[in-house]
Amino acid sequence: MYQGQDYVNSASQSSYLNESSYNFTNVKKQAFTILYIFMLVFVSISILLYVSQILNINQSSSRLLGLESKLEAIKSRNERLEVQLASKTSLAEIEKIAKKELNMVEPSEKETLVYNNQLKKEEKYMADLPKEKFFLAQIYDKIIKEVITVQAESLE
Amino acid sequence: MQQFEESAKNRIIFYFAIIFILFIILALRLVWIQVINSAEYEHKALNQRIREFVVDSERGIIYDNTGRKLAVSLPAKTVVALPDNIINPEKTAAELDKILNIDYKTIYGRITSDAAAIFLQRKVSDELYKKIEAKNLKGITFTEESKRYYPEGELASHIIGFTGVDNNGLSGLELSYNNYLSGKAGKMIIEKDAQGKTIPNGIREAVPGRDGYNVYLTIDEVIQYMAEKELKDAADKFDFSGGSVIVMDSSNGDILAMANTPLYDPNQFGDYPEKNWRNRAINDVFEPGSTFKIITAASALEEGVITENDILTDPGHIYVENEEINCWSSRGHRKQTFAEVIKNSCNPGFVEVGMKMDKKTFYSYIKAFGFGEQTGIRLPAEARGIIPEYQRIGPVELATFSFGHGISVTPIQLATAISAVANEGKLMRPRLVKEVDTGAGTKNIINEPQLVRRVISKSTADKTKELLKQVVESGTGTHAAIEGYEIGGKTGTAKHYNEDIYDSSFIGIVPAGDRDLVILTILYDIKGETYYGSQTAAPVFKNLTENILNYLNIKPDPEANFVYNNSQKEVTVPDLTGQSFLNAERRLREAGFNVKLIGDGETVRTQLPVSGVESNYNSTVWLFSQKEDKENILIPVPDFRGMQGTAAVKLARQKGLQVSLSGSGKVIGQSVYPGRRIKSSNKINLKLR
Repeated sequence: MYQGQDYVNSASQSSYLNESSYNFTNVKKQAFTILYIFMLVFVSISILLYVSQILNINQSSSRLLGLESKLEAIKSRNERLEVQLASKTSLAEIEKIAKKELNMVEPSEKETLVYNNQLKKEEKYMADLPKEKFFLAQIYDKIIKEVITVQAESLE
Repeated sequence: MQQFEESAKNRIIFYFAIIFILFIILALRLVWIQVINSAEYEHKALNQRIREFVVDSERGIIYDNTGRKLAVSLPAKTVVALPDNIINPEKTAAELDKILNIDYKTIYGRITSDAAAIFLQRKVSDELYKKIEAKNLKGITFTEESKRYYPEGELASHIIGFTGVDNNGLSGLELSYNNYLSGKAGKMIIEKDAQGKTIPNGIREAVPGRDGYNVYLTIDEVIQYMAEKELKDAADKFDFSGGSVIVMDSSNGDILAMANTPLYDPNQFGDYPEKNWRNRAINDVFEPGSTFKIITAASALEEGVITENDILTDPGHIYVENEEINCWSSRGHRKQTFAEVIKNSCNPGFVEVGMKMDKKTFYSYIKAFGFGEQTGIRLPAEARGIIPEYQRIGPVELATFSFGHGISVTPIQLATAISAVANEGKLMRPRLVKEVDTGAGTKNIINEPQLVRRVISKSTADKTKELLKQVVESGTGTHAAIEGYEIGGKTGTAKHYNEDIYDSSFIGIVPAGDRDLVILTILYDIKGETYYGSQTAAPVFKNLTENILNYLNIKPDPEANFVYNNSQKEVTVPDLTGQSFLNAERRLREAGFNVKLIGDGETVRTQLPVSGVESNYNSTVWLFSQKEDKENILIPVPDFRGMQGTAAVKLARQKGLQVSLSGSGKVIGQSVYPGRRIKSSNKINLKLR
């Protein structure tokens, strides 16, 4: 043990002998250490990030599975409600409600009235209308007639 | 001391060697497991996590022609017991006994069985599921299965049918279209953890199945409802075992409604007797009675053996091979034209018409109209009807066929055959399924309207329709008349043999825009005093038709007032003996007669009626190339009694008979009994006073 310590001391003493060599090695060592630490941190962070992403994905997948099964249940419920609606709006059901709740009675006698929209409409002509209504129109016609009528020139 | 040290050293070396060897063995085993045999163990581990499920395909939906769902599939819970997980079987059985429709013993037996899992009740209702779930019974779990629901309940139940617990069709369209409706099951492979939960991002593979195809029917839900309602209402008025109604679009063969009673609810088909499941319109046969006379009339008109103006006689009965066939009217209808024979639904009149056609001809028309064979509607167990074998048909059978007795037909056969008359003589295949939706990416299967064959010409079909209109206007079918619509139709009443039970029917041709609807109503096994088709089936037809026309928005024509005009004009039959057939036919047609040529010769040897007879305009004159052919024809003898001598002679000559008179005044006796069929050469002596 004693010998060992001596050996270490003698070795360190010998390394201190060469100053420039000592400085270069020390810087190199420090750089490696920093690089090593940086790499370690980087890898650790990467691993952490990876694991957290995996966890996230798993959680999302799990949520997705839950939502999918929820959607299935809603779809199934929707279909069931649709069928229920179809049953409730069936003609037999409507008739039952109409008769029992709304006191519908079927007619003993039926009468069909046909609306005939093919009857001829009474046509009104201009001549049938009172002249006063077209007073302004008559003046307008006269003016136009005066303007557009050209009298042929006589020989005299 | 040294010895002791050596021995300890040796022991240490020995144990070290053993441990070393064990380590080596373990290492080798590890290499064996992890390296050499890793695939097997990997596979085993995966198998523990992997669960394979069969994904049931969804059965196709059945729609009516308005898009309403008539049959759908929904997930339903099945109650499953896991016997190993049940702690207190007595208590569990007692609890389930109160809820499920199974007795205590059966439940107890099942939940204490050796099986790992056992079904207790399959496809329970939602309410029942919630009740059981609320009990939170240990060892009772649920699995999901697909269950068929029929939202409209009883509506069209005989057409749609139902499925069994395995979702396979057992009846109706569910059975006949099972291949289309049931899809192909798929597979799902999922990776699950020890608790049975799906591992997120685990293996999740699906072998896709194929859902069943949706089927679109020609049935109109509203018309179907109306038809079923009319049958239900009829049950309140008449005493009958059941009924059938068919509403058919004659232009394309579409079945708009096919109703039967008694009804059943396909959602609980097990609660009804099997007879309720029968689609009597398809599966059962009945004697059509007078409704079949439409077929006789159309065939005879097409063959040219008769026209609507030909004179026929009915003394209340007719003899065929010494068998007496009676008319429904015991007094008979006396002298009448064929148009009146149809209007009066006169049996001897139709026998005379039927006998004018030979056996081969009439039989071929019966076959051509589709009787005796399946219509091809594609519903299970369609009956063929009963038409006696050709060799076994004698004159009596031929006579009874002519008024719809001695043969049995299915309602769908009758409706299809009459649709041919309504559809210008073209027989269409009845169509119940319009389209099968095969899903996205594939072409749908479209069931196009199918023409089977042309049975009669358009002119014959039109003439038959006109003759049927007068039946509703002023004949036996007046109870079916609806103001503002020109409806043609025929009643039918068939008595069961040796029983006072009747099958009453009415078949009508209803103009509905650019097409004609054929509506058939049948009431089976009617008892009581009201049993005639005109009293029972015709009013049912009328109510139903009124509602259908209103629903289809087909307005009445206030000016529609159909009146059938019987021609009163008489023409003298010319002498055609010795003339060529061609020339004789031309002359007769120019004179306003219908011509029927008998024989292969070229020259007319004899004729019926003989020349000089004043006969109805457009009546039939028979021309024979051989005199023997005329002799083979048997003419029914009219009841001359009560007629003036001249009138009796005229009638006899019009029918092709010879009479000799003794005395004067009215006929009081005749040498041949009325209704007997004799040769034209036989002379009848009439006694007058």
